[in-house]
Amino acid sequence: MAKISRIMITDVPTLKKDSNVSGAAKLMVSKPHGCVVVVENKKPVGIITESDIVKNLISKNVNPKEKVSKIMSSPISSLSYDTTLEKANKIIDTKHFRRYPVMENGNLAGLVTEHSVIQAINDNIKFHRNIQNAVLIIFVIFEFLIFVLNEYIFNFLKFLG
Amino acid sequence: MINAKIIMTENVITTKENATIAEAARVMLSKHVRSLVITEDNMPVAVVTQRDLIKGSLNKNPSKLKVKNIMNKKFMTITPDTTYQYIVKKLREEKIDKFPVVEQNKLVGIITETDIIDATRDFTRFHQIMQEVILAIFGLVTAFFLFFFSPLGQTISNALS
Repeated sequence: MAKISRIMITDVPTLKKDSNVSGAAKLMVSKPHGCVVVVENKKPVGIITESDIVKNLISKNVNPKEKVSKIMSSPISSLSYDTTLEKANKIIDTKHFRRYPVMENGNLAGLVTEHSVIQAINDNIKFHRNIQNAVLIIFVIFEFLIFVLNEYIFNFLKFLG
Repeated sequence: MINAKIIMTENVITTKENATIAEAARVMLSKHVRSLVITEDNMPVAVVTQRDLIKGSLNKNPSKLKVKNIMNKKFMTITPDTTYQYIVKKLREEKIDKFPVVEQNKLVGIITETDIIDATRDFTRFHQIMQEVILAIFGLVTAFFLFFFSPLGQTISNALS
C-alpha cells in the first residue's frame, strides 16, 4: 500500500513562533498551499490557515504586529510519514481538517491535503480494479478449459502421445 | 453518469461588488464558507476567496477596500448536466476550483473543492463495494464449476436424473 510520503508537499511554508501576524499573511499569499506551519527547532507547534487570518486580521482587527502564537491552532494533528493512504483517510475522516503536517522522527517533513489523499486513493482503486478484473477473466477462461473442455484436451493429448 | 446537479451545493453565498472586504470576511465566517460569488442580475460575474481578502488587506484598511478591487475571474460557469469527470479534469489541469452552476440565466448552485472531495470519497466507497461484488460473483462461479464437474457433483447429478 502506498505511503503518504509519496504524495506530500515538501516545501512547506514555515514561520518561527515569535514572527508577527502580517508576516504570516504575506508568506501565505506568496505560496499556493493556503497555510503556514509554525515551527520551533524544526518541530511543528501550530498551524495557521487562511480562515485564521481572515478571522483575526480582517474581521476582528487584531494588530498585525501581534505574535503568530496568539492566533495559531495548537496542538496540531499530524501524520507520520510512513502512514498508509488508507490509514490517513480514516484519520482525516474522523478529524475533519484539510491539511496535515507530516512528521519524520519528530521533525516536520512535509504537508498533505485531504484532497490529495482522497484523489490518490481513488486513482489507486481504479487501477487495482482493472488489474483484478483482468486476472479474474483469465482465471475463468482457465476454469472453462479445465472443467468443460477437459475431455477434448485429454483426447488431444492421447492423440499426440 | 454523475452530473453537477447531484454534487452541487444549492445554497450559494453571494455578495455585491460594492461590499467592503471586512463585510465579505464577516459573511464568510458566519456562513462557514471559503469563497463568495459576486452576482449581477442573478448571474455570477466574479468570485472572491479568502486568499484575495488577505492579499487586499495587506495593502489597505479592510473597512475601506471594496470587493470589486480584489475579486477574480478564476471560475468556470457550468450547467447542471456537466459531468463529474469533466469538472475533475478542469480542477486538475487548469487548477480552477470554483464552478458556479447556471440554469436558464440563473445561478442555481456551486461546486467547490469541498464538494468534489466529498463526491470522490463517495465514489471511492462505491468502487470498493463494486470490487467486492465482482469478486463474490466470480467466487460463486468458481465454486459452481468445481462442484459440478467434481466426482461428487457428478454422482449427485446422476442420482438426481
